[in-house]
Amino acid sequence: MAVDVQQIKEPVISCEQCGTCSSACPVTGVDGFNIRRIEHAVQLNMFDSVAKTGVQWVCTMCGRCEEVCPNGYLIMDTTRGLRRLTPPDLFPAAAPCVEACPAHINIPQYLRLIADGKPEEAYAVIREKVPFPGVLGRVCAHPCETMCKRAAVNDPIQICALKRYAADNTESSESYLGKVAPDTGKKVAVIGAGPAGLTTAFYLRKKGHAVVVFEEKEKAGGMMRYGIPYSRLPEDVLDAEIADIASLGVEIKTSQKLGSDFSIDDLKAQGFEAIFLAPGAQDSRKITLEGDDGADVLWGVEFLADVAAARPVDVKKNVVVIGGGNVAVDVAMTALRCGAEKVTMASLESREEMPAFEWEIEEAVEEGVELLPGWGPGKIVRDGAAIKQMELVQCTSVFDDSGAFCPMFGSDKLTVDADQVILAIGQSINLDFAAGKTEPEVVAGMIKADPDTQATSAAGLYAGGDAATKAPGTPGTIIEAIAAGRRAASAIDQALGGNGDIDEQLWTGTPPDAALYEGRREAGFATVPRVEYAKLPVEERKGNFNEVGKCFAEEEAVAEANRCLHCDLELKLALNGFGPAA
Amino acid sequence: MSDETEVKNEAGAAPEEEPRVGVFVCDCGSNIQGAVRCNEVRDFAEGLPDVVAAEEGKWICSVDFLNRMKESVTENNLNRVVVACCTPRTHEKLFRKTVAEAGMNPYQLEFVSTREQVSWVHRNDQDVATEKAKDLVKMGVAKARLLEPGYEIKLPVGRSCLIIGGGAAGMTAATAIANQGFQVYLVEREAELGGLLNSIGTIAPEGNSAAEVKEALLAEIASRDNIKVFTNAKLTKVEGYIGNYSVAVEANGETEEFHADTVIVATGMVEIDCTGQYMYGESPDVVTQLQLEGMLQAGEVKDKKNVVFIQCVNSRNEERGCCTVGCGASVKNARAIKEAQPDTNVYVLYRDMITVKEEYVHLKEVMKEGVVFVRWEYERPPVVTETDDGLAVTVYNILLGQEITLPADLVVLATGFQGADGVEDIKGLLKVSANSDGFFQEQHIKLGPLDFAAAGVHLAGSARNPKPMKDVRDEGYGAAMRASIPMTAGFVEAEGIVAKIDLTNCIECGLCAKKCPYGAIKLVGEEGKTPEVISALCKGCGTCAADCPKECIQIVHYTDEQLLAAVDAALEHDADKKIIAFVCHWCAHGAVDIAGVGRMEYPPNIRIIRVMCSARVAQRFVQHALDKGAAGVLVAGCEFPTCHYITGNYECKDRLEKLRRKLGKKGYDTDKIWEVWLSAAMGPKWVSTQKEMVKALGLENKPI
Repeated sequence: MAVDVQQIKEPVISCEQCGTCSSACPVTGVDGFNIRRIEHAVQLNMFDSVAKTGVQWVCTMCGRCEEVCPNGYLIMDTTRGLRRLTPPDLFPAAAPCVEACPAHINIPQYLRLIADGKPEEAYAVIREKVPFPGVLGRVCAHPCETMCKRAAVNDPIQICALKRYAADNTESSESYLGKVAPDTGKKVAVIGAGPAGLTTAFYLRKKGHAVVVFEEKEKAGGMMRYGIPYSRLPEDVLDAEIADIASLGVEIKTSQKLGSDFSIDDLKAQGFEAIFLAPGAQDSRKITLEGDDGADVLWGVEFLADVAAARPVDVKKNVVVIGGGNVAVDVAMTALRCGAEKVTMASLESREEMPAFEWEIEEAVEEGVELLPGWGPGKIVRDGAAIKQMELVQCTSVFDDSGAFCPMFGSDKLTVDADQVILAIGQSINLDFAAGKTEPEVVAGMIKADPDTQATSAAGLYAGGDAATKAPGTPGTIIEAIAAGRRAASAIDQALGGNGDIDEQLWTGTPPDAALYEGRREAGFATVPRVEYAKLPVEERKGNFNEVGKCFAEEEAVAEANRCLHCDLELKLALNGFGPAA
Repeated sequence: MSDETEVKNEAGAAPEEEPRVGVFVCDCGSNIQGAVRCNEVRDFAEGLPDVVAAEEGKWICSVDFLNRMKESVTENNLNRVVVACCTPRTHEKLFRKTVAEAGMNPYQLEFVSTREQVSWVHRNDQDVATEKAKDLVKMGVAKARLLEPGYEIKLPVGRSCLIIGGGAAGMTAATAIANQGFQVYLVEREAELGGLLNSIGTIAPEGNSAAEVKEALLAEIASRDNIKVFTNAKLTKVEGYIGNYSVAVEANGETEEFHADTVIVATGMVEIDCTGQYMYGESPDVVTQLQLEGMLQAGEVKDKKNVVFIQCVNSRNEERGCCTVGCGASVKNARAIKEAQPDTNVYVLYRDMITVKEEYVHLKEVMKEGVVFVRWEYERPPVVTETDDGLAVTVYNILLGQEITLPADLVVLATGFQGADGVEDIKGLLKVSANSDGFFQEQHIKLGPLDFAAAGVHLAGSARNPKPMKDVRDEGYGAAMRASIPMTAGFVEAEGIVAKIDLTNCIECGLCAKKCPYGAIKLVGEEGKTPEVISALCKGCGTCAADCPKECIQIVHYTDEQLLAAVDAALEHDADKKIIAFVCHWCAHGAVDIAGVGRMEYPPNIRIIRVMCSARVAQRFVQHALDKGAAGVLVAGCEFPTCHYITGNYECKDRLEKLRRKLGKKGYDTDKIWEVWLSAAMGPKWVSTQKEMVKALGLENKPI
């Protein structure tokens, strides 16, 4: 459809350039964006020279410009018109949240359904891409929120918490599992029942393959169960979603350890035509310290797993946690729940550099964890057998100029009283099963996997999750593991003769017609604040693992979902033309 | 003085009488009493020479006290009164009237400002305030003892008006004056009446036909037998003053002489020549706004596809300000082009679009029609170049932050304006002044916008400055109104503060007549060298008195003797700690009052002696104050360029430069001579000047 440039100019043709719009605009100056200047360029017929820069996509469509314009001009329609002139290579592929989500969940659509009071339909949309809506709705690292356009306006949409709202308000999650294709007669083995392994199993089963999951631990779930405290992810939520997967006919064999209970060759001999390796990073990274050879020195990952498995753990009154990552934070909060009276967290990194998620650090501080950023472990001071103190060394910098981990220490020392030390300085991957073998290829302690297919160097062997290599800059998160599981499922299906298409329409509603989308914002829309979800009071969190975060009430969820800027519809408008009249 | 009628105030006290001074000290509630011990001031006043009565009142401007003041004048046979209260700028008239009602000559009242100059600005030290108040009363009494009576003057005015310029303003004024039954002589240089109405096609903002406006005015003029129109005419003589002008007009080879009582100048304006700018003169496609008006009327814009207006040509630069009419005209003409040919691209390159009232509505409408407005800045003006396809205008678009180039087959320069040719002749004939652009200078931009300084001469329309047609016509009516007032009354009345010449020592140098900004001094006598004051025209500024080399001229109420008596009284003690300030009655005194009203504290060393204009301050005043040991002398006048006496402040400034040189040669410390030029709002500057002076003269921490 040809673009009528006069239509682009029309809304702002008599703009006097007062600049009230750009004063109010939340993204003025971002990547050179200045709505006032764009309007003037349009007045001068400089349509293409603006559109070719792509600057029109900086706009959030929040409506502030139109709200403050003394003349009441429909300024956003000019921006929308310019978007239509965007050169193809500058056109965004999807809404920013959808692009940011490793599983590409159709976020704007499920937000709209929540806003319409249809959480179950929203759940269906989410389940189209992931088997774990309830898990992700609680503990996802939500890169979608980081990229959310609304963040530039005031605060990002609570995409994660709204996912939980959809999951918690869906009575029968089993109704949204989709169809299982007729048996193909092919067998696939999955090693590791974490998010990557279970996701692969889920989609391969739906494609009609027989899937057996081998899990070393006594229960399935991987880090979702043994790495995240139940206070953040309740056991029943996880159990229900694993049960949904199993209900499709996925066989999960627990307490089966690769290398000791079975080998890759055994599986091949048993007729498994493809094997997906997702053993995860189940061990703590170890260091040696003066005084570590004695009682009351624990390791983070193992500590969390022991608590999750309800094995007896003797937590002392005064605990020092070493580390600044998410595991360390979870360790600190778990220690508090297990009877510690005082928990101190020492991290090499400064407060700003700490790798743990900001919202988790804040929650730990709220619960009374004392932070000591910028201090590394020196030695453990004992009085006889008992730990008395932890000596810390000042850390002057953590990373070198290239950004690599390279801690430098100063001369200052700090001694804190302690009777227990838990070290949570990182995770390590156990690849003993591959030791001495040429295949699969291991790079930097991880199984080398193709970023698109998760295939390893060995035929029929695929890998994903924390134990596999990832595309540069990709963090080890649950949603990333799920995405890897999806890629592996698709590739394995194709290898086994299927079409590799694992997507299924679970939501039966009709997507909105972008042509009917008017895109006008009510006055005050841009300043509607983010709705925060309620939390268990701090004093009620001690001594138990009751879930801290609360689910949104309906009116909260609707209000929050209504803050969405509908970037997906804006994109369709840009592709298809102006609103109602077109 | 045959034409003048001096009206003696009904009961004027004879000047020969021994002075009997009454002093009335006001508490102003707590306003003065709060900082000044008024009873002490009253007691002090009682002991001053010639003071026969001294009274204190809570509010001396109250009806009760005014009656008491009248009783006191009668009881004590007072012939001088000193009031010590607020400011003469608000209350002098009231007290003059009061003493006149009691039979005194009103000009024998002296006003001392103990509120604005004392209690409000020295609020924190009663001793300091009280001592300063006493000093001021002493100065007031010293001057009052010497005050002579003054008399208002009436001059008869007849019923005819000369209007110079037959454009929209002149024609409008002519009809308005003729409608009241006065005789009008309308003198037009060109062959036709109409002025700019003949050049422009339509009138901004509505785009009404200029021809229709002109025809209507012509019809009305033609219908009046009391309007005599001269076209192709040249003024060869205008002599005299209000009520008494003798005029000669040369028209079509004949000269006619007639008498006129009042004059209105409405000579209009012309575009400033743009030759050499923006390729004007080089390319026929670069035209001025008025040329475009002609092209539009002749339908010569039809084949133009790209028209670029450049605003603020020869305006808003170092020489002159806004041309006032360029924006409205360009909007109007851009619209005319766009309406006739919607496909023509019209660009207006502007610095600021100044559109008011209806003009703004039209601006919005032309934007809707697609006229594009591009803003440039003074430092980076547009550049017109010739290309293969015609002209191109390159301009740095500050709203876009980049340079753009627009094709143009017509460039219109909205140029600035200057007064019409012949301004110099009029200046000479009427003794009025004009600025460097040839626009006539009104008496005062706010207080007398349609008046010249000389009584009976008025101005209207774009001869004053460029303005939209509606304003031009409004000024035509306004000037007609101003001229009609004395013609209706039959006389003009002037204040009694005028120059008096004692010819005893006069050397007939003629300097006084040359210096007088009002043409109020005629040179008469057999050789035409003897100065004579036309009291009705004299405004009492004192320029002549200050400059007279033989000191022959005095100003009523502001004689040398009176002013120097006040200086002497001020410097009687602690002279080395006091600053004598000669402050003009208008803006400078206004600033002093504002400092008081604003309760702005400043050092108490200043002793103000009021003059009507800073031009009254003669070298001998400054020298006298320094001789008497004053720590410093300050002269304060109106901020440039305005002056209530046209150019008094300029005269004063020139004189100060000369006297510094002269006094420097004589060994005086000229660092003690200060000057400050103030608008009536500049209280803070008055205060900072006091502080700077006190510091520079080393008077800090030196109690009086």
